[in-house]
Amino acid sequence: MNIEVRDLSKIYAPSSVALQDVNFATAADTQVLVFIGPSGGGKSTLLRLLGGLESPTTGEIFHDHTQLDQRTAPLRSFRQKNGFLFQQFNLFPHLTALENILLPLVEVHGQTSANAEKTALAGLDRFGLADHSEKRPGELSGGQQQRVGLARAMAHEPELLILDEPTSALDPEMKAEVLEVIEELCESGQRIIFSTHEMGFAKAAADEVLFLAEGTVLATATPKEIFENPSDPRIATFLERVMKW
Amino acid sequence: MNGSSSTSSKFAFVSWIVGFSILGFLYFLFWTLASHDYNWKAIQPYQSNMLKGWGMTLLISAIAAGISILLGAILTAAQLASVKMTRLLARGYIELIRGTPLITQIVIGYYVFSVALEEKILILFSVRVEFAPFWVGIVILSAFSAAYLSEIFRGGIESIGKTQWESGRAIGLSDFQIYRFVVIPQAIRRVLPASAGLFADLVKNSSLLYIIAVHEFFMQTRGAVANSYASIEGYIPLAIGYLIITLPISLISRKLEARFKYEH
Repeated sequence: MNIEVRDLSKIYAPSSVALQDVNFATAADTQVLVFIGPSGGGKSTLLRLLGGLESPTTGEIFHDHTQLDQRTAPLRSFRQKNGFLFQQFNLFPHLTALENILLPLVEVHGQTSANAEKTALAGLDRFGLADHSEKRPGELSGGQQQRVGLARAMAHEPELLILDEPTSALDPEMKAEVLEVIEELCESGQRIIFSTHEMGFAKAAADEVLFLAEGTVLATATPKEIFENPSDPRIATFLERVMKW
Repeated sequence: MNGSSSTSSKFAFVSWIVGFSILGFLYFLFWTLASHDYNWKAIQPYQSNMLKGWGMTLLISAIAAGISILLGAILTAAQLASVKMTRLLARGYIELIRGTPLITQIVIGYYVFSVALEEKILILFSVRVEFAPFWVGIVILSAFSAAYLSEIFRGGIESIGKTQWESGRAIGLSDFQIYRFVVIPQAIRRVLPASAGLFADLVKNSSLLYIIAVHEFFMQTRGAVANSYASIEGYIPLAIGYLIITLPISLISRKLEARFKYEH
Protein backbone atom coordinates (compact mmCIF):
# COMPACT_ATOMS: atom_id res chain seq x y z
CA MET A 1 0.00 0.00 0.00
CA ASN A 2 1.04 3.51 -0.49
CA ILE A 3 -0.08 6.04 2.06
CA GLU A 4 1.08 9.59 1.98
CA VAL A 5 0.20 12.34 4.40
CA ARG A 6 0.98 16.03 3.90
CA ASP A 7 0.93 18.71 6.62
CA LEU A 8 -1.78 16.84 8.50
CA SER A 9 -3.15 18.44 11.67
CA LYS A 10 -6.05 17.58 13.91
CA ILE A 11 -6.88 20.26 16.43
CA TYR A 12 -9.94 19.69 18.63
CA ALA A 13 -9.41 22.91 20.57
CA PRO A 14 -6.49 25.32 20.94
CA SER A 15 -5.52 23.44 24.08
CA SER A 16 -6.13 20.02 22.55
CA VAL A 17 -3.87 19.43 19.56
CA ALA A 18 -3.92 15.76 18.63
CA LEU A 19 -1.72 15.96 15.55
CA GLN A 20 0.47 18.79 14.33
CA ASP A 21 1.91 19.04 10.79
CA VAL A 22 2.40 15.34 10.20
CA ASN A 23 4.23 14.35 7.03
CA PHE A 24 5.16 10.86 5.96
CA ALA A 25 4.95 8.40 3.09
CA THR A 26 5.02 4.64 3.36
CA ALA A 27 7.16 2.43 1.18
CA ALA A 28 5.26 1.04 -1.81
CA ASP A 29 5.69 -2.57 -0.74
CA THR A 30 4.47 -2.09 2.83
CA GLN A 31 1.65 -4.48 3.60
CA VAL A 32 1.56 -4.19 7.38
CA LEU A 33 2.08 -0.76 8.91
CA VAL A 34 2.35 -0.48 12.67
CA PHE A 35 2.04 2.62 14.85
CA ILE A 36 3.87 2.64 18.13
CA GLY A 37 4.60 5.32 20.68
CA PRO A 38 3.43 6.63 24.04
CA SER A 39 -0.26 6.90 24.87
CA GLY A 40 -1.72 10.23 23.90
CA GLY A 41 0.87 10.63 21.18
CA GLY A 42 -1.67 10.72 18.35
CA LYS A 43 -1.81 7.08 17.19
CA SER A 44 -5.58 6.77 17.48
CA THR A 45 -6.22 10.12 15.85
CA LEU A 46 -3.99 9.32 12.90
CA LEU A 47 -5.69 5.93 12.43
CA ARG A 48 -9.10 7.57 12.51
CA LEU A 49 -8.04 10.18 9.96
CA LEU A 50 -6.50 7.56 7.65
CA GLY A 51 -9.67 5.47 7.93
CA GLY A 52 -11.97 8.39 7.19
CA LEU A 53 -13.71 8.26 10.56
CA GLU A 54 -12.78 11.88 11.19
CA SER A 55 -11.72 14.75 9.01
CA PRO A 56 -8.43 16.59 9.52
CA THR A 57 -8.30 20.23 10.54
CA THR A 58 -5.74 20.83 7.80
CA GLY A 59 -3.70 18.72 5.43
CA GLU A 60 -4.16 15.97 2.89
CA ILE A 61 -4.23 12.18 2.90
CA PHE A 62 -3.45 10.03 -0.13
CA HIS A 63 -4.26 6.33 -0.40
CA ASP A 64 -2.47 4.82 -3.38
CA HIS A 65 -1.96 8.31 -4.83
CA THR A 66 -5.67 9.19 -4.60
CA GLN A 67 -6.57 12.00 -2.27
CA LEU A 68 -9.14 11.16 0.39
CA ASP A 69 -12.25 13.21 -0.35
CA GLN A 70 -13.51 14.64 2.94
CA ARG A 71 -17.12 15.25 1.87
CA THR A 72 -19.75 13.14 3.66
CA ALA A 73 -20.77 10.77 0.87
CA PRO A 74 -17.32 9.90 -0.53
CA LEU A 75 -16.00 9.54 3.01
CA ARG A 76 -18.74 7.07 3.82
CA SER A 77 -18.11 4.98 0.72
CA PHE A 78 -14.41 5.04 1.56
CA ARG A 79 -15.19 3.69 5.04
CA GLN A 80 -17.31 0.95 3.49
CA LYS A 81 -14.28 -0.35 1.60
CA ASN A 82 -12.27 -0.69 4.80
CA GLY A 83 -12.55 -2.59 8.04
CA PHE A 84 -12.09 -1.26 11.56
CA LEU A 85 -11.57 -2.65 15.00
CA PHE A 86 -11.29 -0.49 18.08
CA GLN A 87 -9.71 -0.93 21.46
CA GLN A 88 -13.04 -1.14 23.26
CA PHE A 89 -15.35 -3.88 22.12
CA ASN A 90 -17.69 -2.12 19.79
CA LEU A 91 -20.04 -4.86 18.84
CA PHE A 92 -23.77 -4.15 18.95
CA PRO A 93 -24.96 -5.67 22.26
CA HIS A 94 -28.52 -6.35 21.10
CA LEU A 95 -27.43 -8.52 18.17
CA THR A 96 -25.89 -12.00 18.18
CA ALA A 97 -22.35 -12.54 16.90
CA LEU A 98 -23.80 -13.70 13.59
CA GLU A 99 -26.20 -10.75 13.31
CA ASN A 100 -23.38 -8.33 14.07
CA ILE A 101 -21.61 -9.57 10.96
CA LEU A 102 -24.77 -9.84 8.85
CA LEU A 103 -25.89 -6.24 9.46
CA PRO A 104 -23.21 -4.48 7.38
CA LEU A 105 -23.15 -7.23 4.75
CA VAL A 106 -26.87 -6.90 4.10
CA GLU A 107 -27.53 -3.22 4.80
CA VAL A 108 -24.28 -1.67 3.56
CA HIS A 109 -22.98 -4.09 0.96
CA GLY A 110 -26.36 -5.18 -0.35
CA GLN A 111 -25.79 -8.92 -0.12
CA THR A 112 -28.75 -11.29 -0.01
CA SER A 113 -29.40 -12.79 3.43
CA ALA A 114 -28.43 -16.25 2.22
CA ASN A 115 -25.10 -15.12 0.78
CA ALA A 116 -24.37 -12.91 3.76
CA GLU A 117 -25.05 -15.76 6.14
CA LYS A 118 -22.70 -18.05 4.26
CA THR A 119 -19.97 -15.40 4.38
CA ALA A 120 -20.57 -14.58 8.04
CA LEU A 121 -20.54 -18.21 9.17
CA ALA A 122 -17.33 -18.84 7.22
CA GLY A 123 -15.79 -15.81 8.93
CA LEU A 124 -16.83 -16.97 12.39
CA ASP A 125 -15.40 -20.38 11.60
CA ARG A 126 -12.12 -18.86 10.40
CA PHE A 127 -11.68 -17.04 13.69
CA GLY A 128 -12.59 -20.07 15.80
CA LEU A 129 -16.06 -18.87 16.75
CA ALA A 130 -18.25 -21.44 15.02
CA ASP A 131 -19.88 -22.45 18.32
CA HIS A 132 -20.66 -18.90 19.34
CA SER A 133 -22.62 -17.56 16.38
CA GLU A 134 -25.91 -17.32 18.27
CA LYS A 135 -24.45 -15.67 21.37
CA ARG A 136 -24.77 -12.00 22.16
CA PRO A 137 -21.62 -10.00 23.00
CA GLY A 138 -22.56 -10.05 26.70
CA GLU A 139 -22.16 -13.84 26.67
CA LEU A 140 -18.70 -13.76 25.06
CA SER A 141 -15.28 -13.18 26.62
CA GLY A 142 -13.29 -10.08 25.69
CA GLY A 143 -11.07 -12.08 23.38
CA GLN A 144 -14.04 -13.69 21.66
CA GLN A 145 -15.68 -10.29 21.25
CA GLN A 146 -12.57 -8.91 19.58
CA ARG A 147 -12.45 -11.90 17.27
CA VAL A 148 -16.11 -11.35 16.33
CA GLY A 149 -15.13 -7.72 15.72
CA LEU A 150 -12.35 -8.92 13.43
CA ALA A 151 -14.71 -11.28 11.64
CA ARG A 152 -17.10 -8.36 11.09
CA ALA A 153 -14.32 -6.08 9.88
CA MET A 154 -13.06 -8.76 7.48
CA ALA A 155 -16.40 -10.07 6.19
CA HIS A 156 -16.61 -7.77 3.17
CA GLU A 157 -12.95 -8.37 2.23
CA PRO A 158 -11.77 -4.84 3.04
CA GLU A 159 -8.99 -3.24 1.03
CA LEU A 160 -7.49 -2.00 4.25
CA LEU A 161 -7.94 -3.26 7.80
CA ILE A 162 -7.41 -0.68 10.55
CA LEU A 163 -6.94 -1.87 14.12
CA ASP A 164 -6.70 0.61 16.98
CA GLU A 165 -4.92 -1.08 19.89
CA PRO A 166 -7.03 -4.21 19.42
CA THR A 167 -5.61 -6.03 22.44
CA SER A 168 -5.11 -3.22 24.96
CA ALA A 169 -8.21 -4.03 26.95
CA LEU A 170 -7.54 -7.78 27.14
CA ASP A 171 -5.80 -9.97 29.70
CA PRO A 172 -2.61 -11.73 28.52
CA GLU A 173 -4.20 -15.01 27.50
CA MET A 174 -6.89 -13.32 25.41
CA LYS A 175 -4.28 -10.97 24.02
CA ALA A 176 -2.45 -13.99 22.69
CA GLU A 177 -5.55 -15.51 21.09
CA VAL A 178 -6.36 -12.25 19.30
CA LEU A 179 -2.76 -11.59 18.25
CA GLU A 180 -2.62 -15.07 16.72
CA VAL A 181 -5.61 -14.22 14.56
CA ILE A 182 -4.07 -10.89 13.52
CA GLU A 183 -0.81 -12.65 12.73
CA GLU A 184 -2.69 -15.04 10.49
CA LEU A 185 -4.29 -12.05 8.71
CA CYS A 186 -0.89 -10.41 8.22
CA GLU A 187 0.45 -13.61 6.68
CA SER A 188 -2.57 -13.95 4.40
CA GLY A 189 -1.54 -10.78 2.58
CA GLN A 190 -4.21 -8.50 4.06
CA ARG A 191 -3.25 -4.83 4.12
CA ILE A 192 -3.28 -3.80 7.75
CA ILE A 193 -2.52 -0.69 9.73
CA PHE A 194 -2.58 -1.14 13.47
CA SER A 195 -1.45 0.59 16.60
CA THR A 196 -0.21 -1.42 19.51
CA HIS A 197 1.75 -1.50 22.73
CA GLU A 198 2.88 -5.07 22.02
CA MET A 199 6.43 -4.34 20.94
CA GLY A 200 7.33 -7.95 20.28
CA PHE A 201 4.34 -8.35 18.00
CA ALA A 202 5.05 -5.04 16.25
CA LYS A 203 8.60 -6.10 15.56
CA ALA A 204 7.55 -9.47 14.18
CA ALA A 205 4.54 -8.45 12.12
CA ALA A 206 5.38 -5.01 10.73
CA ASP A 207 6.85 -4.22 7.35
CA GLU A 208 7.15 -0.63 8.42
CA VAL A 209 6.89 1.07 11.80
CA LEU A 210 5.76 4.60 12.46
CA PHE A 211 6.71 6.16 15.77
CA LEU A 212 4.32 8.83 17.02
CA ALA A 213 4.78 11.06 20.04
CA GLU A 214 3.39 14.43 21.05
CA GLY A 215 1.28 14.66 17.92
CA THR A 216 4.10 14.23 15.43
CA VAL A 217 5.80 11.38 13.60
CA LEU A 218 9.30 10.97 14.98
CA ALA A 219 10.29 8.24 12.56
CA THR A 220 9.12 5.92 9.82
CA ALA A 221 11.40 2.96 9.37
CA THR A 222 11.65 -0.80 9.17
CA PRO A 223 11.17 -2.58 12.50
CA LYS A 224 14.86 -3.51 12.46
CA GLU A 225 15.93 0.13 12.24
CA ILE A 226 13.46 1.35 14.86
CA PHE A 227 14.13 -1.35 17.40
CA GLU A 228 17.85 -1.77 16.92
CA ASN A 229 19.05 1.61 15.85
CA PRO A 230 16.46 4.32 16.62
CA SER A 231 17.18 7.63 14.95
CA ASP A 232 15.70 9.76 17.72
CA PRO A 233 16.78 9.64 21.37
CA ARG A 234 13.11 9.90 22.44
CA ILE A 235 12.39 6.62 20.66
CA ALA A 236 15.33 4.96 22.35
CA THR A 237 14.13 6.16 25.75
CA PHE A 238 10.59 4.96 25.10
CA LEU A 239 11.67 1.54 23.87
CA GLU A 240 14.10 1.11 26.71
CA ARG A 241 11.31 1.79 29.18
CA VAL A 242 8.66 -0.45 27.65
CA MET A 243 11.03 -3.32 26.82
CA LYS A 244 12.60 -3.31 30.28
CA TRP A 245 9.97 -5.57 31.84
CA MET B 1 -17.97 -0.22 64.34
CA ASN B 2 -20.07 0.96 67.22
CA GLY B 3 -21.32 3.93 65.21
CA SER B 4 -22.44 1.86 62.28
CA SER B 5 -24.27 -0.71 64.42
CA SER B 6 -26.11 2.02 66.30
CA THR B 7 -27.00 3.64 62.96
CA SER B 8 -28.41 0.36 61.70
CA SER B 9 -30.40 -0.21 64.90
CA LYS B 10 -31.81 3.32 64.60
CA PHE B 11 -32.67 2.51 61.01
CA ALA B 12 -34.41 -0.71 62.10
CA PHE B 13 -36.37 1.26 64.70
CA VAL B 14 -37.58 3.74 62.09
CA SER B 15 -38.46 0.86 59.74
CA TRP B 16 -40.63 -0.72 62.44
CA ILE B 17 -42.43 2.59 63.02
CA VAL B 18 -43.06 3.01 59.31
CA GLY B 19 -44.28 -0.58 59.04
CA PHE B 20 -46.72 -0.18 61.93
CA SER B 21 -47.99 3.15 60.58
CA ILE B 22 -48.80 1.53 57.27
CA LEU B 23 -50.50 -1.38 59.06
CA GLY B 24 -52.55 1.06 61.11
CA PHE B 25 -53.58 2.97 58.01
CA LEU B 26 -54.55 -0.24 56.20
CA TYR B 27 -56.59 -1.30 59.24
CA PHE B 28 -58.43 2.04 59.11
CA LEU B 29 -59.18 1.58 55.39
CA PHE B 30 -60.33 -1.97 55.88
CA TRP B 31 -62.45 -1.04 58.88
CA THR B 32 -64.13 1.77 56.93
CA LEU B 33 -64.94 -0.52 54.03
CA ALA B 34 -65.98 -3.46 56.23
CA SER B 35 -68.24 -1.51 58.53
CA HIS B 36 -70.15 0.13 55.71
CA ASP B 37 -73.74 -0.90 55.26
CA TYR B 38 -73.67 -1.87 51.60
CA ASN B 39 -76.62 -1.50 49.34
CA TRP B 40 -75.51 -3.02 46.05
CA LYS B 41 -79.08 -3.17 44.80
CA ALA B 42 -79.22 0.62 44.54
CA ILE B 43 -76.40 0.78 42.02
CA GLN B 44 -77.56 -2.23 39.99
CA PRO B 45 -79.76 -0.32 37.49
CA TYR B 46 -76.71 1.73 36.50
CA GLN B 47 -74.34 -1.20 36.05
CA SER B 48 -74.63 -1.29 32.29
CA ASN B 49 -73.92 2.44 32.06
CA MET B 50 -70.81 2.01 34.16
CA LEU B 51 -69.70 -0.90 32.04
CA LYS B 52 -70.17 1.21 28.91
CA GLY B 53 -68.15 3.97 30.55
CA TRP B 54 -65.38 1.49 31.33
CA GLY B 55 -65.36 0.38 27.70
CA MET B 56 -65.23 4.02 26.63
CA THR B 57 -62.25 4.67 28.90
CA LEU B 58 -60.48 1.63 27.47
CA LEU B 59 -61.20 2.75 23.90
CA ILE B 60 -60.12 6.36 24.51
CA SER B 61 -56.93 5.20 26.22
CA ALA B 62 -56.06 2.74 23.47
CA ILE B 63 -56.56 5.25 20.65
CA ALA B 64 -54.80 8.03 22.54
CA ALA B 65 -51.87 5.72 23.36
CA GLY B 66 -51.47 4.87 19.69
CA ILE B 67 -51.59 8.49 18.59
CA SER B 68 -49.29 9.62 21.37
CA ILE B 69 -46.63 7.07 20.38
CA LEU B 70 -46.72 8.44 16.85
CA LEU B 71 -46.73 12.09 17.96
CA GLY B 72 -44.10 11.37 20.59
CA ALA B 73 -41.82 9.83 17.98
CA ILE B 74 -42.26 12.86 15.73
CA LEU B 75 -41.52 15.22 18.62
CA THR B 76 -38.44 13.19 19.50
CA ALA B 77 -37.20 13.44 15.94
CA ALA B 78 -37.86 17.19 16.07
CA GLN B 79 -35.89 17.49 19.30
CA LEU B 80 -32.94 15.70 17.73
CA ALA B 81 -33.21 17.53 14.41
CA SER B 82 -30.26 19.42 12.98
CA VAL B 83 -32.38 22.51 12.31
CA LYS B 84 -32.29 24.73 15.37
CA MET B 85 -35.74 26.22 14.79
CA THR B 86 -37.31 22.76 14.74
CA ARG B 87 -35.54 21.84 17.96
CA LEU B 88 -36.68 25.04 19.66
CA LEU B 89 -40.29 24.62 18.55
CA ALA B 90 -40.40 21.05 19.85
CA ARG B 91 -38.79 22.15 23.11
CA GLY B 92 -41.27 25.03 23.47
CA TYR B 93 -44.24 22.74 22.87
CA ILE B 94 -43.02 20.24 25.45
CA GLU B 95 -42.40 22.92 28.07
CA LEU B 96 -45.85 24.41 27.43
CA ILE B 97 -47.59 21.05 27.84
CA ARG B 98 -45.58 20.00 30.86
CA GLY B 99 -45.92 23.37 32.54
CA THR B 100 -49.72 23.59 32.49
CA PRO B 101 -52.36 21.35 34.09
CA LEU B 102 -54.06 18.83 31.84
CA ILE B 103 -57.46 20.10 32.94
CA THR B 104 -56.57 23.57 31.59
CA GLN B 105 -55.52 22.06 28.30
CA ILE B 106 -58.79 20.14 28.09
CA VAL B 107 -61.01 23.20 28.60
CA ILE B 108 -58.93 25.46 26.34
CA GLY B 109 -58.71 22.73 23.71
CA TYR B 110 -62.43 22.07 23.76
CA TYR B 111 -63.96 25.50 24.35
CA VAL B 112 -61.42 27.58 22.44
CA PHE B 113 -59.51 25.65 19.78
CA SER B 114 -62.15 23.12 18.83
CA VAL B 115 -64.80 25.87 18.48
CA ALA B 116 -62.40 28.09 16.53
CA LEU B 117 -61.61 25.22 14.16
CA GLU B 118 -65.31 24.56 13.59
CA GLU B 119 -65.77 28.26 12.67
CA LYS B 120 -62.75 28.24 10.37
CA ILE B 121 -64.12 25.23 8.52
CA LEU B 122 -67.52 26.89 8.21
CA ILE B 123 -65.96 30.05 6.74
CA LEU B 124 -63.52 28.29 4.41
CA PHE B 125 -65.64 25.39 3.17
CA SER B 126 -69.17 26.43 4.14
CA VAL B 127 -69.54 23.14 5.96
CA ARG B 128 -70.96 23.02 9.45
CA VAL B 129 -69.11 20.47 11.53
CA GLU B 130 -69.26 19.76 15.20
CA PHE B 131 -66.38 17.91 16.81
CA ALA B 132 -67.55 15.31 19.29
CA PRO B 133 -66.09 15.65 22.80
CA PHE B 134 -64.93 12.05 22.39
CA TRP B 135 -62.55 12.91 19.54
CA VAL B 136 -61.50 16.28 20.94
CA GLY B 137 -60.71 14.52 24.20
CA ILE B 138 -58.60 11.91 22.43
CA VAL B 139 -56.65 14.57 20.57
CA ILE B 140 -55.94 16.55 23.75
CA LEU B 141 -54.93 13.47 25.73
CA SER B 142 -52.64 12.37 22.90
CA ALA B 143 -51.06 15.80 22.60
CA PHE B 144 -50.50 15.81 26.36
CA SER B 145 -49.01 12.31 26.61
CA ALA B 146 -46.86 12.78 23.51
CA ALA B 147 -44.91 15.58 25.19
CA TYR B 148 -43.99 13.33 28.10
CA LEU B 149 -43.36 10.31 25.86
CA SER B 150 -40.98 12.25 23.66
CA GLU B 151 -38.93 13.20 26.71
CA ILE B 152 -38.73 9.52 27.62
CA PHE B 153 -37.81 8.56 24.04
CA ARG B 154 -35.15 11.27 23.81
CA GLY B 155 -33.63 10.12 27.09
CA GLY B 156 -33.50 6.55 25.79
CA ILE B 157 -31.87 7.52 22.52
CA GLU B 158 -29.31 9.78 24.18
CA SER B 159 -28.43 7.02 26.64
CA ILE B 160 -26.97 4.89 23.84
CA GLY B 161 -23.22 5.44 23.98
CA LYS B 162 -21.05 7.30 21.50
CA THR B 163 -19.11 4.12 20.79
CA GLN B 164 -22.21 2.60 19.21
CA TRP B 165 -22.37 5.51 16.78
CA GLU B 166 -18.68 5.15 16.14
CA SER B 167 -19.04 1.45 15.35
CA GLY B 168 -21.99 2.08 13.11
CA ARG B 169 -20.08 4.69 11.13
CA ALA B 170 -17.03 2.45 10.95
CA ILE B 171 -18.98 -0.33 9.24
CA GLY B 172 -20.36 2.19 6.78
CA LEU B 173 -23.91 2.70 8.04
CA SER B 174 -25.58 6.05 7.38
CA ASP B 175 -26.87 8.05 10.35
CA PHE B 176 -30.41 6.96 9.49
CA GLN B 177 -29.34 3.31 9.43
CA ILE B 178 -27.55 3.71 12.76
CA TYR B 179 -30.77 5.00 14.31
CA ARG B 180 -32.77 2.22 12.72
CA PHE B 181 -30.56 -0.81 13.34
CA VAL B 182 -28.42 0.18 16.30
CA VAL B 183 -29.75 2.99 18.45
CA ILE B 184 -33.54 2.62 18.40
CA PRO B 185 -33.63 -1.16 19.01
CA GLN B 186 -31.44 -0.66 22.09
CA ALA B 187 -33.32 2.43 23.23
CA ILE B 188 -36.71 0.66 23.10
CA ARG B 189 -35.80 -1.64 25.94
CA ARG B 190 -34.56 1.22 28.07
CA VAL B 191 -37.72 3.29 27.61
CA LEU B 192 -40.19 0.46 28.22
CA PRO B 193 -40.64 0.83 31.99
CA ALA B 194 -41.07 4.61 31.88
CA SER B 195 -43.41 4.37 28.88
CA ALA B 196 -45.58 1.78 30.62
CA GLY B 197 -45.89 4.13 33.59
CA LEU B 198 -46.93 6.89 31.24
CA PHE B 199 -49.60 4.74 29.58
CA ALA B 200 -51.02 3.91 33.02
CA ASP B 201 -51.09 7.68 33.68
CA LEU B 202 -52.89 8.19 30.40
CA VAL B 203 -55.65 5.76 31.42
CA LYS B 204 -56.12 7.55 34.72
CA ASN B 205 -55.88 11.01 33.15
CA SER B 206 -58.69 10.16 30.75
CA SER B 207 -61.05 10.50 33.74
CA LEU B 208 -60.57 14.29 33.50
CA LEU B 209 -62.43 14.27 30.20
CA TYR B 210 -65.66 14.19 32.19
CA ILE B 211 -65.48 18.01 32.32
CA ILE B 212 -66.17 18.21 28.59
CA ALA B 213 -68.88 15.58 28.95
CA VAL B 214 -67.14 12.56 27.49
CA HIS B 215 -69.16 9.62 28.76
CA GLU B 216 -66.22 7.70 30.11
CA PHE B 217 -65.95 5.55 33.20
CA PHE B 218 -65.61 8.32 35.79
CA MET B 219 -68.50 10.36 34.42
CA GLN B 220 -70.77 7.34 34.19
CA THR B 221 -69.93 6.33 37.73
CA ARG B 222 -70.59 9.82 39.04
CA GLY B 223 -73.95 9.76 37.30
CA ALA B 224 -74.76 6.39 38.81
CA VAL B 225 -73.80 7.56 42.27
CA ALA B 226 -75.82 10.76 41.97
CA ASN B 227 -78.94 8.98 40.80
CA SER B 228 -78.79 6.03 43.15
CA TYR B 229 -77.71 7.87 46.29
CA ALA B 230 -75.14 5.11 46.69
CA SER B 231 -71.51 6.17 46.95
CA ILE B 232 -69.02 3.55 47.99
CA GLU B 233 -70.95 0.99 45.91
CA GLY B 234 -70.06 3.05 42.84
CA TYR B 235 -66.57 4.21 43.78
CA ILE B 236 -65.16 0.79 44.69
CA PRO B 237 -65.95 -0.68 41.25
CA LEU B 238 -64.56 2.57 39.80
CA ALA B 239 -61.17 2.04 41.46
CA ILE B 240 -61.13 -1.66 40.56
CA GLY B 241 -62.12 -0.87 36.98
CA TYR B 242 -59.07 1.37 36.53
CA LEU B 243 -56.81 -1.22 38.16
CA ILE B 244 -58.05 -3.85 35.70
CA ILE B 245 -56.61 -1.69 32.91
CA THR B 246 -53.45 -0.37 34.55
CA LEU B 247 -52.13 -3.54 36.19
CA PRO B 248 -51.80 -5.52 32.94
CA ILE B 249 -49.89 -2.58 31.43
CA SER B 250 -47.05 -2.90 33.93
CA LEU B 251 -47.22 -6.68 33.66
CA ILE B 252 -46.89 -6.65 29.88
CA SER B 253 -44.10 -4.10 30.11
CA ARG B 254 -42.14 -6.36 32.46
CA LYS B 255 -42.61 -9.29 30.07
CA LEU B 256 -41.42 -7.22 27.11
CA GLU B 257 -38.46 -5.95 29.10
CA ALA B 258 -37.39 -9.48 29.86
CA ARG B 259 -37.68 -10.40 26.21
CA PHE B 260 -35.48 -7.49 25.15
CA LYS B 261 -32.92 -8.28 27.78
CA TYR B 262 -29.43 -8.83 26.42
CA GLU B 263 -27.07 -7.12 28.83
CA HIS B 264 -25.55 -9.26 31.53
